[in-house]
Amino acid sequence: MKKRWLPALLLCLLLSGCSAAASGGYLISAAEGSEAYSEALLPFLPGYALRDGEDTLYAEVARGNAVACFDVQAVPAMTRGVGRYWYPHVTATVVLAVDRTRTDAVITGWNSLMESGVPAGMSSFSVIRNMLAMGALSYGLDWKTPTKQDALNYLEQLHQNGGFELDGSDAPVLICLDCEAAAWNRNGGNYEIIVPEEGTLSYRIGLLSDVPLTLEPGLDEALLSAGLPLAGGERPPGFPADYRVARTLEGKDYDRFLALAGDSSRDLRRQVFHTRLYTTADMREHILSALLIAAVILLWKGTVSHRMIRHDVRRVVVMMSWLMVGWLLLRLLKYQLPSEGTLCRMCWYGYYLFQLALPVALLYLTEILDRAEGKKRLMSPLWPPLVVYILSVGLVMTNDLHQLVFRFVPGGSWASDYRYGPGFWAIMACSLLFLAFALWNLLRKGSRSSSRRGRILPLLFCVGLLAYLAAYIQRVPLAWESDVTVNICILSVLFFETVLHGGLIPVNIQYQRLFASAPISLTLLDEDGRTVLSSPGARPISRSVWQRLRTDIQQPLLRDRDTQLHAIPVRSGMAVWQEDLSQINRLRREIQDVQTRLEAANTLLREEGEVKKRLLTAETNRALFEQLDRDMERRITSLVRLIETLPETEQSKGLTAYITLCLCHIKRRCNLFFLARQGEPLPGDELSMYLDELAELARYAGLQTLIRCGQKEGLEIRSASLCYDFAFETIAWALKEKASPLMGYLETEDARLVFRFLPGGDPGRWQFSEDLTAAVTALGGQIVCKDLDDAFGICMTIPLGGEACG
Amino acid sequence: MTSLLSSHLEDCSTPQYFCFSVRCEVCGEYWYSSSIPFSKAAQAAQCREKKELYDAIYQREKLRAREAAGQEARERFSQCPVCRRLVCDACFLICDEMDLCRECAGRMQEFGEPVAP
Repeated sequence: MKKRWLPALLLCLLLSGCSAAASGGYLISAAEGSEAYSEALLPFLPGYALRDGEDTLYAEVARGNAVACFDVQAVPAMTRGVGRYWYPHVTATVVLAVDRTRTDAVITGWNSLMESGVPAGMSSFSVIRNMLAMGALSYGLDWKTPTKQDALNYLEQLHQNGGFELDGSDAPVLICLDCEAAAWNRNGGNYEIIVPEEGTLSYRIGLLSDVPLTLEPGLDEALLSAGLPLAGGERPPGFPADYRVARTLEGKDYDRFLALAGDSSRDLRRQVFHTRLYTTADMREHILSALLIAAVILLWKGTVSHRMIRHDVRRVVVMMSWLMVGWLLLRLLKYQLPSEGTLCRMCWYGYYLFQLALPVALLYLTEILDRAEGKKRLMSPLWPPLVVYILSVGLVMTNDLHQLVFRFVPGGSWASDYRYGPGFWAIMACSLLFLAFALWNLLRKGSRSSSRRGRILPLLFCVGLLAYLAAYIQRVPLAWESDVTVNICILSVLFFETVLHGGLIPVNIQYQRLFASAPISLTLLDEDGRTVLSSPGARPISRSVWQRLRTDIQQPLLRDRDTQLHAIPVRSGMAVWQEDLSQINRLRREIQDVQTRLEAANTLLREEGEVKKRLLTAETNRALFEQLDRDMERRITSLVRLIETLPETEQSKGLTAYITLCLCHIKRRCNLFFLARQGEPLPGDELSMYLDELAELARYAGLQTLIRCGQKEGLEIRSASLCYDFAFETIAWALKEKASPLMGYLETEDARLVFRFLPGGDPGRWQFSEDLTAAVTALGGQIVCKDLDDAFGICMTIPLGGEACG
Repeated sequence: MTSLLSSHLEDCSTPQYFCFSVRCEVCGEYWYSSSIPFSKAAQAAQCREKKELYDAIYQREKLRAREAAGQEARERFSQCPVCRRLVCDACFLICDEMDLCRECAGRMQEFGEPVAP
């Protein structure tokens, strides 16, 4: 229990524990039928004042009052410790009082009454009088083994034969006390007092008190003069002469009597008159049923609150539950009030405080069904019902001032004699209107539900409600005789359950099934770290883990190396789910293994590559030099021959210059060879420099040579090599033929490279090497000799860009 | 035992609190010490000097928290006399002759009750 309720509880206990101080000094006429006795006795009991009972007989005795009651009340009470002094004074016998002005039937006892078919009744329907009559009848029908069932069967048959009513004071035959019938006769009645021949019981009336009583002398005479028979057997005139069949209870008979006559009112209603079959029949059932239903409603509130997700709907449930419980408890309080005073009437009015609120609560519930929970503001359409409710309650509670709701005679018996005023019908109409709106909302929202249950259940509820109303109008006992308060509570609960099971409100049910079938390891912990729900695969959460999660719930943590825990806060606890990291860890290990293997393989491959590279370099160099050797072999051979002839020749200067020219050619060709392998183009300036170098050396050999290079852009090595070879062979030829001067020009014309020479002599015996001619032809070019009238020209043409362009 | 525990303490602290864990070498489950909040966690260092001061305080408190965690772990962990491993109370069995970890007890066919089931 929450601590904030403790002061209220203590206050309630304190207030309920308070009671009026034992005052004493009153003579209480507690039992019906003892009023005449009390009035006759009062003068002989000095210091006591006569007063009506305000509480139970036992409570009055405990307060020190003297209580006038029957022996069947006093003796069992004394055996149970209530009251210490019992003073019996008067005898009252259960008899049949036959009104001779209305029937001449011969009635001598219980059986003749049955046979006569004359309607009979009880002179009073109070609980104690029912007990006295039932006891007398039971003992009368079978003195040795009296049973209640015999008495009930007799009365049921009597009811079916000639009519028997509890409240039958106007019946021709009355089951009553002899002193009562004698008093009627003294007042002008014509009742024949018949002591049933089968037998009956005589009860004693006396005073029960906790303190010894001192009675003035002369009481017996006063009682006789008041028309009351004495306990000793002496009777005043007007009583039957023969009371031999009337027995008096003694000793242990009282317990038997209580077993026989207990719950008489309930049994009479149900087994004799067949009423109250579907509702409470006596005070004990009223109290117990109210407590039971209140407990059930509170239990229902607990279960619904537990199932509910939305807080606003939960508040409606709580409000509805307390309205119903409050109504029942107020009704219970009203049952406890002994008299029909103002407080009792206020309790009656107070019923409507709860009853009228229920339709408003249901209407509110149906209004918020399809709204988000965040919209806490009371919707404007709900203000009118609330205002009407407040006005209605105000109208009911002030009924004493205007009598618009209930009309009764002020000071009269309002509890049983009242009529409904226009105000009552007005507030009932409003209340029914709210209920109708709530039902309409329920049906409308249920029809939009996606589930079949959501569509059918509201319809079923409405059909059930209509069936109940129809049964009530047709006075079907189940509806007509049942408790309206309980029925309204049940209908309200059913309304809510309809909404709940129709899926119109999200609920927290089926949690166990959810957890049982959850594929993830999920655990629900309460605020103390205890496991509330857990899926099958989830391992328990240890205390240290729970503490750590509570400290920092956002931070996941490891349970072990393969399990990671995540948590989120929930109401009154936390939800923890376990993430299985074993697969991830296995994959990570596999990736690490693969990575290690790849790194090792990569190292091997790298080393292999380096070895291969070294081998390839060596092989390439070897092939390169072999190719270079092949390329230069002819030129070197020719050069060696020239060098060998150098000492024998006379013109050593010219030969030396020619040898130098050849050496230069070999050197540049080697350069071009390597450049070709590198794949780089030869800049035009560098080619120009190569050609100038050849021309310079040719001049040393005696050949006036001028070569101009008009090509500025880079040239492909093959083209450059051809140009260089063409220039070398032309110079070599010119030296040999002494065709000085020699002029050369290299230029670009229409995507062609044109290299022209104008020699100083006749090029009739001109002939280039086969290698050069083949190379030029292979490149798509040609070498031609042209007669220019007064001169000759040698021209080499090759496509610019080399073989690809040609 | 203390030095063994100290060597097994894993730091799970954050800038807001200090927390240490110890892993049972038999079941593999982590035990977490009670979290101790850092006294200056709610205060932000406005300047470099203050930050350095807070860092120093953090380290000092962390050291104390580590010692406290070690003491706390002593209540929940034991060292198996056979395999010399650090095991939690759930894996440490009280046997008739000698208290052993669950695995050693199984190998030696000893039966016992765990310290904390």
